[in-house]
Amino acid sequence: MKILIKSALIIDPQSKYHQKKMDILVEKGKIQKIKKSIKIDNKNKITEYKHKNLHVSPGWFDIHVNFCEPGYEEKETILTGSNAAIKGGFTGVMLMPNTKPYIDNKGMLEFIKNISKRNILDIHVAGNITKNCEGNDIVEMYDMYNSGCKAFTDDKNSLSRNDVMKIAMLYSRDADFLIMNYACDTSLAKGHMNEGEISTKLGLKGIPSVAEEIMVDRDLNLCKYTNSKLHLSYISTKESVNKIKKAKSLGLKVSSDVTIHNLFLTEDLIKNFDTRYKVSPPLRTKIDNSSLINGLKNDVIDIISSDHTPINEEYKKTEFDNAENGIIGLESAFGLLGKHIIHKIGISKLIEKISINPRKILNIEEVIIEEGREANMTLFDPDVEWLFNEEDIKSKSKNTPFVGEKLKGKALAVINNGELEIC
Amino acid sequence: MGFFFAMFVNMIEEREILDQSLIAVTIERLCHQLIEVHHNFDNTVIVGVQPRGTFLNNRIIKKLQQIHPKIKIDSGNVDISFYRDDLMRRDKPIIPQTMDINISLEDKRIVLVDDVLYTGRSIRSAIDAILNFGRPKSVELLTLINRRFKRDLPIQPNYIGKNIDAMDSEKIVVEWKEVSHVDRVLIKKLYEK
Amino acid sequence: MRNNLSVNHLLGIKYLTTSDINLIFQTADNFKKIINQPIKKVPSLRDITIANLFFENSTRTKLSFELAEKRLSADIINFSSSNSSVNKGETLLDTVNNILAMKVDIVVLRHPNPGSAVFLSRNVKASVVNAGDGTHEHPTQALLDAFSIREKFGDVKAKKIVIIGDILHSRVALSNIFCLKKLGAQVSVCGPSSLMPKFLSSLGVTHFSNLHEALEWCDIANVLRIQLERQDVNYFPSLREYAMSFGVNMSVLNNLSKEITIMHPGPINRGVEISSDVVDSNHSLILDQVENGVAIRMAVLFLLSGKLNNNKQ
Repeated sequence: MKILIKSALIIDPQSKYHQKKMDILVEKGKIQKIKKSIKIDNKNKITEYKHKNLHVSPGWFDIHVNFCEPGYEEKETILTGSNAAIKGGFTGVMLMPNTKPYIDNKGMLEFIKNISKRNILDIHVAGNITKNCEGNDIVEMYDMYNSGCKAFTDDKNSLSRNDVMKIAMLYSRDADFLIMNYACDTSLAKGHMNEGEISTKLGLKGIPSVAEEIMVDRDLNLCKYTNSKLHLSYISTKESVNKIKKAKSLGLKVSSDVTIHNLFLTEDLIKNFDTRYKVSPPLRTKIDNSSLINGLKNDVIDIISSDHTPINEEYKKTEFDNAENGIIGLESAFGLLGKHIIHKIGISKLIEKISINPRKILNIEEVIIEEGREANMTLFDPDVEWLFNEEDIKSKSKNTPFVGEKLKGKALAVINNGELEIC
Repeated sequence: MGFFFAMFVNMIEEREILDQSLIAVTIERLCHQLIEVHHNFDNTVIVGVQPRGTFLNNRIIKKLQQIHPKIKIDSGNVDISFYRDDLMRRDKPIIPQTMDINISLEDKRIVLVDDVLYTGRSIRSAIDAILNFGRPKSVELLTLINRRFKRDLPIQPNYIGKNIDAMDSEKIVVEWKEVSHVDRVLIKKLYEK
Repeated sequence: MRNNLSVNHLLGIKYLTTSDINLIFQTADNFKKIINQPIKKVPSLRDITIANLFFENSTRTKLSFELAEKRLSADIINFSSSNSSVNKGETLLDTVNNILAMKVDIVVLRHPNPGSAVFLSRNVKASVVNAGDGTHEHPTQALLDAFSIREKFGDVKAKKIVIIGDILHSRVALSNIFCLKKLGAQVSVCGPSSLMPKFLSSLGVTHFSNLHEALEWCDIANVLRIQLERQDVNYFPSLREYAMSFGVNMSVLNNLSKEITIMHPGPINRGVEISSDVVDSNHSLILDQVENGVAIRMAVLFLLSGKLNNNKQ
């Protein structure tokens, strides 16, 4: 299959064509040619892609998605989740291991690979750090690494035991996989929203910022002690950003990510017990929002993730305490970033955070828009305004507060593994 | 009742039925009728129906005292807000007034006093309310205006200031000096806009 | 003065305006007279059905609501369940919808989860009265407390009230703070810092950590029940130590330079947060609070019923 992309502005800081408007010819899954203008004689053997304000970047990658299969197929399956990811313009995702059973051995990893169904989407799977996600004994990491597991995390179950965290980090040093931890002290975080004025007035138990910051401190200390790589997930407070900034300046091998919603939503949205905004880590304050955005700007935070978390309606349409945490995010990801973030950090920075850095940090083969490379890219228009409707949701669950909202910026098509799909 | 209709309609016809002096004469006559039946009021309690029966009640008591300065007349006012049967059927909220009955009504002869008798529902509520203060010997009704059409309940006044036959679309308004600077009774014809 | 509530549900004091509160008080004045008549019952709500749904143990509040409803001649159905099933959300909405299918006009809800009354009001057609939802609000308690202060002192405005006890886990404290502040009172709280919310100042109250200082400052002390059952860890070492530091007893009151009034929402742990001699003394407004509770709840139910008509249209 031959695809000709006409006059697309290339956004790829690693490529020599960065910020240049080019024609791109893709053939047999590879980028054959990049030129100002490519002329084709035999037009019926080629798919030509033209669009107003067309941009192209290396395919987007989301490092935290929950496709809920196996175990929770009523919320999402790998197929529906993949469709959601493609709809949002992603060509790669990493699945979180909080399935039932957990992904804590090679067998489960292989099993997941076998149910992956969409060729155009690269699916990576994170393994659990500890067996059965219990926080006690580390899993067979080498075995899983050899089966393609690039990262280990107990996801939202923050690893609380210091000794186990230390062992996991030391163990990761000998191979090239990544330990990711959600920094959250569970004994302090027995709450349902950010601790602050709103939680006080609603009588809801609060999750203080310090619950995260204590754990960030511990993980950074262990990072220094073990001299290993560390990835801190779902950073949500100003002080966490400051701590990671300091650690990076001291040369620690630490990286971090933030969710899209923590960048611009605040705790105020909960003041009517609105469970749609119940997420983990909780929505915090405007001050935290702007610190996180600054963290993106100066590369303290490396990655933005949608933290796509499907939840059935009955677990959202309930009292706040009983509601589950999470928002589905793949389909609305770029529209929200275009609306709230792009003008603050610039488009090149954004592409680094959602495309280049995730692969770099996970040690996945890099994707560069240059001749001779694998064609893995997302075509998009960062300026188009559109209404996010329920029909745009491909996910099995509909737990998003953004339906009916006007978003800015949209993925148009993805190209990967020799296929093109319109988003 | 029915003041709130004023917001939706134009009032174009307005006629005075009783003026200040006629009201005074009427009240005096009603007082003499009461004396005829109740003599020196030793077992009688005169009870005004809140809110608008209170004004008439005060006049009656004052006049009776003028006629018979030496006798003591027991009186009170009954608030029917919580005894109405139309709480959920009204467009406007009920505004509770004070319940002002400080004696037992057990075995007393009660004279209920209200300005206009129309459907009879307020008086039904008032009877309900006063029964909570004891079992009276008898209950009578005194009304300044008796509208004879559209009685919903079998209630008839014992003492009548004036009978009026008015259409449903018409409205009887009793104005008292205490709130409107003049005593008078008006009939208002309502036309929809 | 408006003569209608601005709300269709009573979910919390924070959703009421000051004139709503004053209207409830004025209506309660009327009902207080009624409940002192020889016959205490009025037929106001005789075509209204009220469901009392208590998903948490409660004796006093439930009795008070039931009595108020009976005095108003409403039809009542009762549902109590304190056995917490795994999935309360499903139970709550399903249970309530089941009951509403029987044509219920008003739901009185007591539930362990904060915001459950708000949640219910958004999902059912009936008018909802919050009879205590977890650590969120307990509006009728706050109204009757303020009503009792108004009754004794003529006005709540500019009065100094200290709330003593576990502010962190108390819906009574939260509703009382909102209510008293709206009525122009000065409010402070007293208790160990471990029982205070970190963002206390956002409620506009000050904190005393010394009981004597707090009592010396106030006109009225509202002493809360110390509730061990709502705590997942011990926020103070023992009831003994609490009683020694924050227990209100006669010798503490006798050491003050003035007389103060003591309130308690009940049920009382005699000898812990308050001593028996204080409970039974003439300082105490505790029995007035109980009586006023019925009048306040009658007023709330009466005023909300008056709005049912408009809701239906």
